[in-house]
Amino acid sequence: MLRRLLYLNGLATIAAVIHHAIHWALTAMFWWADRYRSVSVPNYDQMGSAVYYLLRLIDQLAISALPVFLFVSGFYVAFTNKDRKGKEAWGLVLGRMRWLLLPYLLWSSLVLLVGYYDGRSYDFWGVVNIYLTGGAAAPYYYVPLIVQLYLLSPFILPLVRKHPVGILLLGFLLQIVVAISWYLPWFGLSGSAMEPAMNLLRQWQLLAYMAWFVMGMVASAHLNAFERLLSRHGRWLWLALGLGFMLGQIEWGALTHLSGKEWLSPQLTIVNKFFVLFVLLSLICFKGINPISPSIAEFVGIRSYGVYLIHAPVLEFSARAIYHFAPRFLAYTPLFLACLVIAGLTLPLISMAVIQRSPFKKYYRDIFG
Amino acid sequence: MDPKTALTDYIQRELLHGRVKDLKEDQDLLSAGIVDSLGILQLVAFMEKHLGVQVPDEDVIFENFQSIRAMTEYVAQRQRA
Repeated sequence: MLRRLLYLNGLATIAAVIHHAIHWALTAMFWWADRYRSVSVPNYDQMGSAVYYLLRLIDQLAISALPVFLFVSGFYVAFTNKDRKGKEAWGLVLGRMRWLLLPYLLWSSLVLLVGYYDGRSYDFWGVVNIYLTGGAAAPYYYVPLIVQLYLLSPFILPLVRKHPVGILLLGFLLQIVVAISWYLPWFGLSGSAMEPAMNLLRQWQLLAYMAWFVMGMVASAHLNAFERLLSRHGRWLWLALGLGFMLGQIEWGALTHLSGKEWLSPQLTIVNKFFVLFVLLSLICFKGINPISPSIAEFVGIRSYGVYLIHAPVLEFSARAIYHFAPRFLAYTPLFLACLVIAGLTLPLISMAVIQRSPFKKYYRDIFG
Repeated sequence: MDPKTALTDYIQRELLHGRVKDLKEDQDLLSAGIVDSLGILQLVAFMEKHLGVQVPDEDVIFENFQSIRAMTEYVAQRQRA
């Protein structure tokens, strides 16, 4: 199981790069259309096109990245702390956090510096807010989220051992409640009295995602039972995947229409949360099915944190470079997407390899975790 | 190269990136933050590829990877089996 999780970690890293690259592809489609066509922006002519739905299909799979990361992290935390309590357990948690926070602060600072030289201005509390919420780059919200989960893990682990089903249900219930807080305005059901509470629910990533981390802890702490359950009922996962995928597409289409937006993140929708659960369980259960080569996924999996931190500025830089120097290329969305994904994966891996072979190699963990 | 030297070398190069020169045989690698869950998986891959031992899933436990001595003894046991 532990080895399969390394594979999943690598797969999730690649999926995260794809998911974030899709955002740039949509930007090129709606907001940068004036760079390759004679239109004013935003332009929504390409909404409903084949390419639009291709992005939609890919993204529905790619959104599994964050839940997989959290599941793997939860599993590792429970695995590491199996026979450790009190000070020892806290020592491990804080030790791990050092290698999460140092690189995060470094890369966030770099992104802020580039933004500053690019003409953006920040005040002191703005910068503090950015560091606390992962605001330097869109994907960086993951770091404050995982830090909160690590800090909570010594309290959650005893509950996971004694009441695994209860705490799992609580986690998933919280997810549904957060999802509903997004749905209310789309259905015209939000009111000014509820809005502050709803806003808090939407912004507090911990409530929306902790179920996946907890699930990883439960799987680790009750591994035999978890594996038995999967082996007994795993054959239904194929059906669940197919249904989840189809219903996820339908629900997303309906909610996008209701919301009046040109794109909704598939992460926000309830059916997709079940779909992602089925994807995760399938990837664990069907060990023979490897969407990408295990050696590639494991190679990336070992370097996942560094790739995750660096890919965000790489994607932005690459997208903007194409915008400025080769705008006609923006018209070819699948190629543009492929280009971004290749850059988003290879440039971080190359920079990690360069540092590892340089005189700066002793700072490798400070830079990449 | 004997397993103890090979493992020490690998940990210093790949997990420590040259930060620590003097790694003790009985040092608790987990408590020192040198080896974590990902590090264990890297060590498993190293053992299988370079030391010629197969590591079954049930042996991927911290006790077998806690220190260089523990890993060396584990490799010796697997090589005898």
